[in-house]
Amino acid sequence: MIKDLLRFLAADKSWPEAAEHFHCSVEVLASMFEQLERGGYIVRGSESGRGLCSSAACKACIYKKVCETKSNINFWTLTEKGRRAAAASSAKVNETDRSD
Amino acid sequence: MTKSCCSSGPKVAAKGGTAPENGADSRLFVMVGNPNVGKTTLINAVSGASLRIGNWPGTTVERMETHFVYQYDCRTNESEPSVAQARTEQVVGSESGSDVSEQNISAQDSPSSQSDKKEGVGTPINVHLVDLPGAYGLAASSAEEKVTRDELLTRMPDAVIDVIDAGNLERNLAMTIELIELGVPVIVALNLLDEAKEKGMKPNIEALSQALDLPVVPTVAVREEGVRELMQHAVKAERSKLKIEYPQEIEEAIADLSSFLDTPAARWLSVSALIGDKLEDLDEPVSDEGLQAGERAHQAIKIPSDFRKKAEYYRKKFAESGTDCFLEVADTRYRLARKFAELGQSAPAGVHKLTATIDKAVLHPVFGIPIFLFCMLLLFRFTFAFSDPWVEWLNVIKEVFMGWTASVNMPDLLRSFIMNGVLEGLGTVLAFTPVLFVLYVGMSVLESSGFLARSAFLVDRVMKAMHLPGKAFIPMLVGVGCNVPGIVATRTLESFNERLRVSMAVPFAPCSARMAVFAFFAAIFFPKNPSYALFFIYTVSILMGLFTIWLMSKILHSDETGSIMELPPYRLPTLKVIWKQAWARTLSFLEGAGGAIFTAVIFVWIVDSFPLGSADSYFARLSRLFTYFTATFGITDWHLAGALVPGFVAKEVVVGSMAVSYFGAGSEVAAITLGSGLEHIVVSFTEAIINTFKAVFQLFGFINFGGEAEEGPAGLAAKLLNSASPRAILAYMIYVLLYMPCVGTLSALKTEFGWKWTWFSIVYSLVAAWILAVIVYHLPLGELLASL
Repeated sequence: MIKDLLRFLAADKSWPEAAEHFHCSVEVLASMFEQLERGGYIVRGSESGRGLCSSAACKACIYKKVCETKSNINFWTLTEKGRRAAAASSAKVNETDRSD
Repeated sequence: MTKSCCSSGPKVAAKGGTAPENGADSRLFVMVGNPNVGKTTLINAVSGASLRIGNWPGTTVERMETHFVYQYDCRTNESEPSVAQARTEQVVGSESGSDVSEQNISAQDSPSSQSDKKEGVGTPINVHLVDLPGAYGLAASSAEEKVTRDELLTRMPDAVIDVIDAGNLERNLAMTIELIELGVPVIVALNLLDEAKEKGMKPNIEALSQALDLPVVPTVAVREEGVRELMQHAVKAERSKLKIEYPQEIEEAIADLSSFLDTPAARWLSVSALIGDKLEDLDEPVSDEGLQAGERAHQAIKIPSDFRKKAEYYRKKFAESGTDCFLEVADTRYRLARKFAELGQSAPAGVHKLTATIDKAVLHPVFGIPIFLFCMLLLFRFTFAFSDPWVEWLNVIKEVFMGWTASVNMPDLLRSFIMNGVLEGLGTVLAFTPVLFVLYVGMSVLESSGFLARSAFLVDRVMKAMHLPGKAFIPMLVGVGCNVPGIVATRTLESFNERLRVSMAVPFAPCSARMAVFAFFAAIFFPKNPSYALFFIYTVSILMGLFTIWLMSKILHSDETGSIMELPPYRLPTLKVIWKQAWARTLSFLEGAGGAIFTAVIFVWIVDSFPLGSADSYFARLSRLFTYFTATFGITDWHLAGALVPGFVAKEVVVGSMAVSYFGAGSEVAAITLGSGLEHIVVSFTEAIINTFKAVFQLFGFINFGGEAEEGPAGLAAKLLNSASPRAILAYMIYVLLYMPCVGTLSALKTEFGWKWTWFSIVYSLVAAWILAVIVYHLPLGELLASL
């Protein structure tokens, strides 16, 4: 199931498509993403880009509080490890399909 | 529920290290579960303690322990928790490296009055019930998980009460599966059953119990339902015989590794080692300092070095053979959780129904964008409808202060500075603070409700259509607050070309600073519906940003990277959160923009006041030269043209500079008394409150209780209306939106991409601003918007 999600992600599908495909609650979907993140297959980013800017750019910004109060919109991106794992998983699925 | 509980008598001796207490048997029970499943309520129902209860995840962030004597009678199968000595206390010991603290609950918190409660017949058992923080697993990837894992492994409780949410089985059962693998006796408390039934779910307790090979006790903690049965099962808890099967090669490795360990948790530890979890901490026992009588000491889990070496060997072996142990284990556990959830629930939870229904419309490929645009229009209507009364009120305050200043005897130059520099310049900008505040309120509602994530998703879709990575919209979204962090946020993009493409578009995002300028002009020139003008500006900014990205993609190519954005379920935002966010943003704007505006206002006042006594100031002379350029898009008044010059530094200073230049050194305000001024302020405050209520009806265009203004525009508004037409002002607003990034943004561009691209951005934005301003001026859009 979580391998399917990784392949799904590699195929550039969206969150609603994933929720519909796996027919699961948002909580379950989010927990699968967290598992993949824990394994280093995906990395999380956020809308505000917080944690990314250690430079003076944000520190000196007069509107930094406006930025800081933004609610996070989370997104995940495949890592190189994730891409490899998705490709390997897809290859296995294709192999199984052929042998069937 | 259904696994038999009374096939044998209760265990007499507790395992390892439990000290005898009052001659009675002691049992250590541990309550675990995901956050927000009602664990604390259940523990209170079981023990009679009064632990803190909250309806938010993670209420139990501490490890808490409560003690009580439980009367157990196996013969009659009747048992009842008798709180002869209920007490909840701080448990000594700390988790090194963890920020999870332990809470001290005073004796008064426990209902000691219950000590005389009826004691049941049978064997008294001293129960030590530990309440652990809510956790989703045992991987120790969070402080809560670490506390849970260490407690279970080092104290090996007699029973683990796994509290799961009956309405969210799949999510909760993932933890149950790990507990089974851990080799501890587990009882499942199927809590929040009433809520699950209200959602139309019909939990199949019998099937779930059989599948898990565990007792499953339905409970409704708030009503203390199922509590007695839960304790009955806890006393006799046994390990599940369920075997979780991984692929053959992993199973072989687990069997091999388990042979090194002499603990019921051998299988779980072996799996954890194979998937690369850190197990080092388990060598050190948790401190038992201050252990109470009857409490069980923590036992260190000694992991032999041979075990570690072997685990390392298997990890390497799997890596070479292409077997991804982590994925296989996680996949197996999730599949099992789903299978058990389907067995235990006749109507699966599935996707969030309300969210899915709304999303069908909001994320529709055709109607999604129009719905989004309509919501933005509604947001702007809301902004103007509710802020207008308060803008009026602040303007009255400004006029009163000017009147007071006029009544004080002082040198003309100083009076001019205070009235036309400070009060007119700063006051004009400050008077529009309510517009920003109400806009931020609306934005907070959109964010907290989950709508903003949907709008981002729609833009994401457009981005992908333009062969840009989905997350390219993130810097654009950040840029709506302020362009500077928007530029910095492009670091989330992987390739230089991707970053550059988006960075060139970020300066077109309508930041807060420009918002104040647009709101000011929209209110004066498009009084019937200023929201339409604002909506037009926002639409142009979005289109310009997308066009720039498209244009840049023709110059710079980069590969796409897969990404996915989370769409949280819709939620009703709380007033507290909305107020807090809107207030913080408004203050931030005032703090951030205040200094720049003040400096610009002083600068313009000086250059507009000198040479003294001359009608043709330095600023006027410079600005008149600039009108040769601005006349191409209808701006022939030098005050408006001149305000663009300090606007090169920061856009928020445009209005303040213009206000100062209009009034120059002359003073036209009549003096007023202190009492008269205060009366004006109080009366207009009352009117503002009344007009705010009227705005509710105006928002939806039902009835305009406010009617038309009895008096015509005065002061700065009157001067502006005589200076430019609506179509020229609309072109002016477009020019302000697009012309040249502010100094802060240029600095960020230079830091991130160097001078070459910074100059490109300057030239590109100046050209684009002029072209679009000229186009807008030559179309009758301004008149159209003014007539709507």
